[in-house]
Amino acid sequence: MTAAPTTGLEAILLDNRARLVRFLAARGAGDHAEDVFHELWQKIAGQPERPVAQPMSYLFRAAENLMRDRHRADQARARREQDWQESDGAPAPPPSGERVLLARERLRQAEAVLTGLGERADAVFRRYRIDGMGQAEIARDLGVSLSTVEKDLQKAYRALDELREQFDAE
Amino acid sequence: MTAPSDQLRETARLWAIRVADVDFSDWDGFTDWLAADPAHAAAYDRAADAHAAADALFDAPPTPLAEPAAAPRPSRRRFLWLGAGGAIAAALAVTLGLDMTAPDPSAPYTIATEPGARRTIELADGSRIELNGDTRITLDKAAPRFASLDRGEAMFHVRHDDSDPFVVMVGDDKLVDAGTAFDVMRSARTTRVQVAEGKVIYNPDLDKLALDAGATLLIEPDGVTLGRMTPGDIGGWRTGTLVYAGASLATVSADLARSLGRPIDVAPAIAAQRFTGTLTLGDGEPSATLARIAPLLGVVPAPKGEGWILTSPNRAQP
Repeated sequence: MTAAPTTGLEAILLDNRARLVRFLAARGAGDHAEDVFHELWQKIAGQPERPVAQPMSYLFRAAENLMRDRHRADQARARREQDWQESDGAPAPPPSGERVLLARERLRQAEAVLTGLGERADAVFRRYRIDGMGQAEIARDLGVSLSTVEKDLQKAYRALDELREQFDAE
Repeated sequence: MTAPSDQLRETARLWAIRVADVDFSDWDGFTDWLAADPAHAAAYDRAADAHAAADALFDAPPTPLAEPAAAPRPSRRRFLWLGAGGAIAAALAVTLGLDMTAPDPSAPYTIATEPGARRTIELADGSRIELNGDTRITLDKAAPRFASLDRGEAMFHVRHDDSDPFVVMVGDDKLVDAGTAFDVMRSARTTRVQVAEGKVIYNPDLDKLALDAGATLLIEPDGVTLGRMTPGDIGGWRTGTLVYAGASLATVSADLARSLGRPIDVAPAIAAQRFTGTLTLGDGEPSATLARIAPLLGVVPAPKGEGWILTSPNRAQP
């Protein structure tokens, strides 16, 4: 792999090594930041060459995704170990028919939480999550500042967190 | 692993919202915040996890039934579709005569009967469900061709539609009508399906078992038994006539409890004993009815709680 000519993105990656390693270390990789950087480099080098509009944002995003993947893998492993320990006498999952109805009921309650946020925050969250719009686009659309959009999303996610805590307690 | 303070949690939440945006570019600012305190990265991950879980609340629920072909799936239109569900729900509510002061789209609702009671539900599409006593059924306003039998027994008279089959979930088992009247009973350990008219498909994705008129299907923990009975005898509980061919006393006692409206247990020693014959319940007092049919079953009823326990005539029972 070292023999392959470096592409534009690879060159930018190597030029910004210190910046990205600092990010990875702070992001939770700690002493393993160099290892994760190497993993990132292998990912980028393995990709076919294509134009990237914002190369630095692209590389940071790739680094962030890598850290999220590692975090999820850690969590899945911890859950498996816990399931293994608790597998005796664990309640059976509800039948699939009830699961469907439960999911529908939860969707309905989540909808009600959004409605309860007030008109603007409700619209912001729906555009963001349901319609997949960017935050700047939503701000333009509704004629508010980006900071207002962020605060509305913060309010929505906080309320949904509380709803999920209720579900977990059930 | 102490929980982060409220302030840290909210700061982490705001960063998770910013970083998740497609246009986010302040990576150095994000790095500075993370580097300021090792607890920040963990708080950020927790916030990102929470947001992913919150987002998942809005994923379309899994559907075991065939959605109407016209149901639009793209996310931009999902709420419009739920709105249309509201219209169907309203129509259904009128038919059922339910108290629907705040009609809400896509909400499941249950209808239950007391032991000994019966009730008929007319659905908007012309289908009809008769509920035996001590029965609970869940319907969904957004899915008018779907029912889940939670417990008890119900006779379904389904208006058939090839393009939109009626689906009944019984626990993990799925029944799809193919032009049909059929009876379904669910107890803690047993599911029983009896087809009076037409055809029912049992678990079309797994077993693909076609049950025609007169077919019976008994699903017990130790296996599945196929049988036959006279189609006219199916759903006999509606007229107080219970017809059995090799049914366990556990099944018979559960049927009696539903129809008589009193708990009726069976002693473990004889629960697996089989019964073949016809029981006519009539309109008498439950105690008199039970006294009359007990000899047919070869049991002796003993009082227990508000009801009875069926015991063997050969041994004294506590």
